[in-house]
Amino acid sequence: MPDQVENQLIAELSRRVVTDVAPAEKRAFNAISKAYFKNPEKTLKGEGGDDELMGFGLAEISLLLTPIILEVVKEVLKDLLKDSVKDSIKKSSLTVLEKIQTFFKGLFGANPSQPAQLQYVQLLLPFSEENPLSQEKLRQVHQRARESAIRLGVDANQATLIADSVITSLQLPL
Amino acid sequence: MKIKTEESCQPRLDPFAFPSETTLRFALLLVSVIGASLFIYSILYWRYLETQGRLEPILNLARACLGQNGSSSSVLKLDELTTARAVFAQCSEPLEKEFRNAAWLALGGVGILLCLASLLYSLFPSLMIWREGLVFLDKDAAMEDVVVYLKHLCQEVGIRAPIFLQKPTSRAIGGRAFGSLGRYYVVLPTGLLTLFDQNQDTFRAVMLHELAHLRNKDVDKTYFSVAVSCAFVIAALIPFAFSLLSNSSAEGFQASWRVIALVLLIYLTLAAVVRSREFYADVRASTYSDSQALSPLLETVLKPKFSGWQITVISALERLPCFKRNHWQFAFLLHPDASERRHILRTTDRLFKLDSWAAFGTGIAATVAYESVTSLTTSLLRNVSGHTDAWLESLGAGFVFAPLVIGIIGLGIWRGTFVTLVRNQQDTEAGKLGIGLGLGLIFGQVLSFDNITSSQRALGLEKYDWAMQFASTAFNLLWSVLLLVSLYYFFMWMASGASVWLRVAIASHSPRPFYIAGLIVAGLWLTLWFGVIFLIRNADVLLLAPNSIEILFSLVLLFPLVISYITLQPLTLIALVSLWAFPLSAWLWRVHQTNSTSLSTWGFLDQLPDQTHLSTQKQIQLHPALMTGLKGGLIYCVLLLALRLGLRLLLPESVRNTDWFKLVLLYAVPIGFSVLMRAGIAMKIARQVKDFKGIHGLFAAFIAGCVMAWSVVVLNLLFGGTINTELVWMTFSLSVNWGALLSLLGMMVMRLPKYQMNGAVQDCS
Repeated sequence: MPDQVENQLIAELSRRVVTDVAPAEKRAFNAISKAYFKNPEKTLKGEGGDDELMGFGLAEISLLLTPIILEVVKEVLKDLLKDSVKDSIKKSSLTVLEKIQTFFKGLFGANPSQPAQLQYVQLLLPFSEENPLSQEKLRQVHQRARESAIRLGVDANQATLIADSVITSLQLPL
Repeated sequence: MKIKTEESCQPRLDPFAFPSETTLRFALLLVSVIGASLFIYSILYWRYLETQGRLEPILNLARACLGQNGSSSSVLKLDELTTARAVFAQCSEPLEKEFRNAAWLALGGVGILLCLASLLYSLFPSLMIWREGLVFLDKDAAMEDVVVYLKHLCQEVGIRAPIFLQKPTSRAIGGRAFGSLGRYYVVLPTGLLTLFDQNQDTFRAVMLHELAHLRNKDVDKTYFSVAVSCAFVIAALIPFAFSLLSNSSAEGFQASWRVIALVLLIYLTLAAVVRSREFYADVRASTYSDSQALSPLLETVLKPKFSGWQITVISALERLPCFKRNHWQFAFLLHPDASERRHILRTTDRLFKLDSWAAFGTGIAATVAYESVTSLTTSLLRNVSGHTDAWLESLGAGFVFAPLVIGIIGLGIWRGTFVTLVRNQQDTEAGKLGIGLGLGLIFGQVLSFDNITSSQRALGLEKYDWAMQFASTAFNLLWSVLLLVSLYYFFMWMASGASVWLRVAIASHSPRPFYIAGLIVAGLWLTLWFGVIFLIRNADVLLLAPNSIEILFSLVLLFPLVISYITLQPLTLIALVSLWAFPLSAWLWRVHQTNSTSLSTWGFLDQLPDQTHLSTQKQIQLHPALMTGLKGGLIYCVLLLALRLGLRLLLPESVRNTDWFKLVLLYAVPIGFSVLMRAGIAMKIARQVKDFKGIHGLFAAFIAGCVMAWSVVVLNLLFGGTINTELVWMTFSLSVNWGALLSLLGMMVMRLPKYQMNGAVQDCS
C-alpha cells in the first residue's frame, strides 16, 4: 500500500508537469505511468522504431518526456521526504511516530473515518499545506530536478522548464 | 488523394485488380519452406539409416545384384534396354523402398511443421501483447476521443474496427497491424499518439496505412509467413544442425551448404512478403480522402531498418566485386526503400511486374524437393493404379510442379501484360521470367536431395569413368538448353494470350474469369511439358553404363522417333491446337467491336477521363490467316492431284502397286511436303500480320494442315485406295502435328511469336 500511494503521489505530480511541459503526451500519461511503475528502467530507456520490423517503418520521435518527468519527480520527492523526515525527527520524533501509528491504525481499520491513503500522503508531505517549503528548499529542488532531467537526456532549456513545472506542482494543493 | 504519374496525366493502375504480389510471394514462401523441409527430413532419414547401420547392407546388396546382372545395352535395341531397365529396377528396389519411406517421413515432417506454424500463428497475438506490454486503448478514459476517431476511420476504410492497443514505452510514430484468425489488432506507439493533437494529418495518414493492411487482408499472410519461418527453424533447421554434430563428413558439408542456400531463399522470400505488403498498404491508403500527408511522411521520417546481422551480411556482400549496393540492400530489408515507396505512390506500375529473381526462386523451390515429390507421386500412383511407367511418373511430378509455377509466374505474367497493354509498352519480361524459372529449375536440381543421394549415386554408378561424366554433362547441357528455350517461348506465348484476352477483359467488369481460364489452360500445357521434360531428364539413368557416349548419341538420334511417337498422341493434337485456339477465341468476344474499347474502371485507382480508350485498331486478323491457310491447303491439293495423275500416267501399274511406292511416294512424300508447306504458310502469315504473329501463323498452318490431310485421304480414295479410322487418324495427326511442330520451330527461329503491344491509353486531355 505505501508503494502504491507513493506512486499515486508521483503520478499526480508528474501529470501536472506533463500537462504543462509536454501536453501532447497527456493522453498517453496513464499507460506510460503504469508501465513506468512496473518497470522504470525499461520505460525510461524507451523503444524506438527499430523493434517495429513488421510495422510502418517510420522513424521515432526523439524523446518521450513522460517517463523522464516521472523519474525526475520520483527523485525530487525522495530527497524531499528524506529531508522532511529528518526535520520531523529533529523537531519531535513523537510526531512522526504518532503519524506512523495513525497511518497503521487507518490501514487496519482502527480509524475508518480517515482514509489510509490520505494519512500516508500527509505523512509524506508535511510541507504541502501548513508547512510550505522554504525558498532555499525550493531552489535546491529546482536544481535537483534540472540536473536529473539533463542527466536523463533532456536539453538544458527543456530541463529548466521541467524543473520550473515541478516547483509549481509541488506548491499546488493536492 | 489523386496522385498522377510525373511523366504524364495517365491515371494510376489498380494493383488490387489482380492477386497481389504479396500473395504470390507468400505462395512462393510456402513452397520454399515445404521444399526445404522435405529436403532436410529426407537427409535426416538417410542419416538415421546410416547411424543404425541399415544403409550399407542395402547398398551392398544392390551393388552385388547389379554386378551379377548388369550389362551394357544399346538404346537402339529395345529388348536389351527393357531388360537393363528391369534389372536396374529389380536391383535398386530395396533402395527405392527406402526413398519412398524417406519421402513419406518427410511428408509427415512437413505436416508437423505446418501444424506448428499454425499453432505459432494463432499464439502470436497473445505473445506479442504480453511480451511488449501492450495495453488496450479503449480502457483508458483519456483515449476516448482517439478511439472514436479511429472507429470513424475504420468505417471510412470499410472494415470492422480492430482492437486498438497502445505501446506505452515506444517512441515510434509508425503503427503496426497484426492478429490472426479474424481477430485483428492495431498498435499505436506513444510516439504516434502524440501526433493525434499535434499533427492530425500525419496521424491519419499513418492510421490509414495500418488499416489498409486489414483492408488488403495481408495480415494473415504476413504473420503466417513469420510463423512458418519460425516453425521451419524449430522443426527442421535445429534438428538438422544437431545431426551435423554427429557427422562432419563431406556428405555433411554437401548437405550443409545446400541448406544454407535454402535458408537464404526462405529469408529473402519472407523479406519480400513483408516489403511488398507495405507498398500495397501505401497505395490503398492513398485512395482515401485527406491522405496527402502520406507522401511527405515517407519523404521525411521513413528510415531504413537494419538489424545487427543484416548490417554484417550487407557489409560482407559489399566486399564482393559484383555487389550492387542498392539491389542487395533492398533484398535483405524487411522494409521497402523510402524512395521506392514514394515512387509507387505516384505510379503503381512496378507492382504489376514480377522480377526474374522471383522466377528463379520459384524454380529452386519447386525442384529442390523433386526426388521426394516424385517418390511420393510414384508411390501414390502405384497404390491407385497398381503399376506405373516412366511417363506416368514424370507426368505425376509435372502435375505437382506446374500448378505451383503457373500460380506464381503465370499470374505475374498476366499482371505484367496488363501494364504493357495499357501503357503501350513493349513486353520483354515474360521471356526473362521463363529464363529465370528455367535457371532456378536447373539450380534447384543442383541443390536437391536427389543430387546428393539418388539411387544411382548411392550405388556409386556415376563415378564410373570420365566418358560417363562427359556423357552426363553433355546430356545435362542439352536438357538445360531445351528447358530454357521452351520456357522462354512458353511464357512469351502466355503473355500473348494474356494480351489478347485482357483486351476483352478490360471492357468487362472484372479480369478474374479471364485470368483464371488462362491460367488453367497454361497449367495444363505446362503439366504436359514438365512431364516430357522430366521424362527426358530421367533418361540420364541410361547413361550410367560403360558405353555412355554411344548411348548419348543414340539418344540424340532417337529424338525424332520419340517426337513421331508423341505426334501420334491425341493429347498432342489438343495441346497444339490450344496454342492458337486459346488466344484467338478472344476474337469471338470482339466481333462486334469497332476500333476502340472503353476502359473499365476496375483497372484504375484514379477516376478516368471521359475519353479514355484502349486502341484496338491493330487486332486479331483471323481473316487473312484463314484465307492463307485455305489457299495453301487448296494449292497443295491441286499439286497432290497433279502428282498422283502424273505418277499414274508415267509409271506402270506393277511399280505403283509395290509397297515401297505406296509408302514413300503416295504417303511419306505428300505428308512430308505438306509439313514443309505448312511451315512456309505459317512464316508467311507471321510476316503478313502486325500482331500476335506466331499465333496467327500457327492458326493458318493448322487450317492448311486440315485441308492437306483431307486432300491426302480423299485423293487416296479417288485413286482406288482404302480408308479406315486408323489411317485417317495417322494421316491427320502426322500431317497436322508435325506441321504444327515445324511451324512452331519456324516461329522460334524467326524470334516469333514476337507480339507488339498495340493498345494504348490515349491522351487523357
